[in-house]
Amino acid sequence: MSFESQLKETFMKHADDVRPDTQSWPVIEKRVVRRHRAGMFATAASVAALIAVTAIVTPRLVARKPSGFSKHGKPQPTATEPTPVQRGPIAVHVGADQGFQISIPTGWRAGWWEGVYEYEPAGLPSLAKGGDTFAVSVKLVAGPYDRSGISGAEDPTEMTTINDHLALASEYVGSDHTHDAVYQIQWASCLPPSIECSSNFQNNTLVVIVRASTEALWTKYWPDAQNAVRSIDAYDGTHPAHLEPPTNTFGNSDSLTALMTRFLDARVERVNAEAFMSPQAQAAFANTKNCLDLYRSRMTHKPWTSYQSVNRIDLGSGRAKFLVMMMMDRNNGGYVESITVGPAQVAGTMVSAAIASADYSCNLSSGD
Amino acid sequence: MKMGELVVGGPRLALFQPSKERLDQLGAWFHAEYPSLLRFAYFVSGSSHAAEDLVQDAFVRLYRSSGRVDDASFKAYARKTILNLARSGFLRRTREQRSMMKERDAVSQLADGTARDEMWRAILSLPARQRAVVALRYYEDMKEADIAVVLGISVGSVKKHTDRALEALRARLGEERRS
Repeated sequence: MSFESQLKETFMKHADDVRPDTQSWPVIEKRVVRRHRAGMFATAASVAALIAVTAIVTPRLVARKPSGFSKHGKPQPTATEPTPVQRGPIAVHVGADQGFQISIPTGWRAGWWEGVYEYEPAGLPSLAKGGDTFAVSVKLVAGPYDRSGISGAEDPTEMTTINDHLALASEYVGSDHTHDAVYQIQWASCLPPSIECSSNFQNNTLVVIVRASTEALWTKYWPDAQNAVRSIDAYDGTHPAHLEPPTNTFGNSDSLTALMTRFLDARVERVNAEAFMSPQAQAAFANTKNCLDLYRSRMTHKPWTSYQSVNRIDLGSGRAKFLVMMMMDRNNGGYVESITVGPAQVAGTMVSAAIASADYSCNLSSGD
Repeated sequence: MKMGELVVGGPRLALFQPSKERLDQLGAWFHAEYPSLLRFAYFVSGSSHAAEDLVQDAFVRLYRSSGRVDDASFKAYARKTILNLARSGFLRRTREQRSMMKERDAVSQLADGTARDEMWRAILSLPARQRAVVALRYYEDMKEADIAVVLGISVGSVKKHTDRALEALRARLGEERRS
């Protein structure tokens, strides 16, 4: 017998060493079912874990705290990355002039003057008034966002994104213990709807400055401020912040500015500005013999796209007169209006702050 | 589904149920090829219990791959899977789990005289791939080209493994006979 025949015979002989088990198939079937379910559960768990990790990691990547730097040998602030938790109700404020929206804690005051939006916790003074305070200010400036020294932050330190807007973040601790976090955000948004954007408008910078006068204020309000900064995005019209008429809770002169801002925002947004007006003011705007118009120029029929404050005169008794310029085009002039804010009837209810009356000028004024 | 029929979690849990179509196909392959695959696994592993585990494990893996495997490629795919499992850590795990059964195997082999089979002992001493090659060549009468397809290697490699296996067997048998 040849070697190969011997080999073949050995295999044939030992083929019977194993006997097929008729019960093997049910066992295999059960194992297949078990393995399939385990695989599906593992896949589902992996997907859930991935979603959870993404939900945790993405906000941290999108809006990281500026890495910070210290000038003049001052120590770094002790404030650390805040826990991304909702710290209370927020209100969406629309910076209509600059095409952004920001979510700020309810109770914070929203102010606007000379093109700067300013938000402070209740009870703290504005930056202009001075004293220990904490504020988030937002301003649109011309030029690319990565221009150095744009806001006094001499050492932009960190590239980041805020709701997909490229941004530079930097931090500054002054020798007097003031604390600033500065965000220079690439801002190429235009006000909706159907607003024409010039090429210059596409290449501007939204500068956001978070400022605390003291370390204690920084520590207390920085988490709220960072949430607010994280929320900044182009205004998309889905959060009209001015649908509700003001209540009669305004008690100081700042509430007049706030109401004025809301009124002007609503006019630019073309949403429910009437809700802020007394019957007298509504009649003034409805008079076809003057140049006042709520949402667009009666002369050119172009909608208002922005506004600027010119002056404010406190009249006493909770009243103030604002000189504002309504604009159709940022690069050209606008129409000056004189609007008085104070106690007035709105929809049959007496409120402490409303658009009480309005005067007008049909002369086109210079924009700057 | 009839109107008014009560369905409890059926559609949502369907994802966690294996495909009936694929299970049926797997069952058909099992009933047609199980004996020959079991023998092949036995020749490769040298253990009847390990062979049973190898075949079961191969079918579980086949279920996951059955979308890519058809009737024509099933035989080759199953054998390749068995060989790969045998060459991987599968046998180590099986040996650990079934050490007692192995002892029982040895006792039964001694009882029926197979342990005294010189050629069989020599075959079991071969590396798994060489054992697979000679099993396919001399038990299943496959041509070298078919063996190459089953094992996923070149015909030249099949020749090389066959030559080395035969050389090793001759050497082993010569040693045993001398001793």
